[in-house]
Amino acid sequence: MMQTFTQFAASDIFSALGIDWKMLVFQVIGFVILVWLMAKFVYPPLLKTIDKRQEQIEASSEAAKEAEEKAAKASKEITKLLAEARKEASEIVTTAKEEATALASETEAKSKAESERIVAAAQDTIAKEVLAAKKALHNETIELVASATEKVVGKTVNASVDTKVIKTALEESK
Amino acid sequence: MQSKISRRKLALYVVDAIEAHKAVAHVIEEAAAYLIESKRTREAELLVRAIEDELANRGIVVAHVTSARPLAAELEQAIKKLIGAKEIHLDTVQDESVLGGVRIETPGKLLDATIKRKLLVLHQAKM
Repeated sequence: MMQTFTQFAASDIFSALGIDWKMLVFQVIGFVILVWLMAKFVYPPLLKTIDKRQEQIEASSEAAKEAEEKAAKASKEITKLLAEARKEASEIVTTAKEEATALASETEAKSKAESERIVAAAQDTIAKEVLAAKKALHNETIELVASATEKVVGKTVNASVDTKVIKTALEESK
Repeated sequence: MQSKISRRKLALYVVDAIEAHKAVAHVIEEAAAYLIESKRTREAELLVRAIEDELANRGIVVAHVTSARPLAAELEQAIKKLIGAKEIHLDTVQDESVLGGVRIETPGKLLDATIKRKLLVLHQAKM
């Protein structure tokens, strides 16, 4: 009775809803077959592809993270290198300035010494030239005086003067 | 071989002969002859000097006096007085190149008070 009731009820409900239960069964079977086919042939490669893609994404993410870390590390390294380079450049500039200052001082000292030497040499040369000129003048004067005296004396010294000269010489040699 | 007589001994011989009042010309001739014979004529001047030195040692001075003009007797006396020897013989030479003054040369001494000498000293004063 129950079975009959059920069949009746079901038949009645399906009919009331406009559903052909045979068609429904057929559709369910078809759906099951479809699901089975999908599970058998479509989902595995799809899941495999998704897994692969996920792995790739994760690997890419990892690589990106690693690259980011490397970039950060490189950035730190670059910053450190830049700091060192700046420090080194600063030291080089300081050393160069000190060397330039020392060189300038040394050059100045050398120039001063050289100029003093040149001035001293020039003064020495001038002094020598003045001395030579004085000597030349002295010698020329003596030459002129001697020559003039010889000429004048030869003409002007007479016996009287000569006697006086001789007497004076004899007196002086006593 | 005849031994060589030294110039000193020869001078002594000549001076001794002169002091012994032998004829001076003869003694000089002897000495000259010896120099010629011994081929020492180049020593004649030196022998004369040696004789003069020896004479000076004995108080007889031969003074060679050079002047531009003849010396007056007064000057000759003054020169002799200056030399101050026992016996003085003046050998006067007139040389105008000395210009003036007098040059007296005795053995061991020389007084050159000529104007030429003074001019020479002036020349030597050149630097």
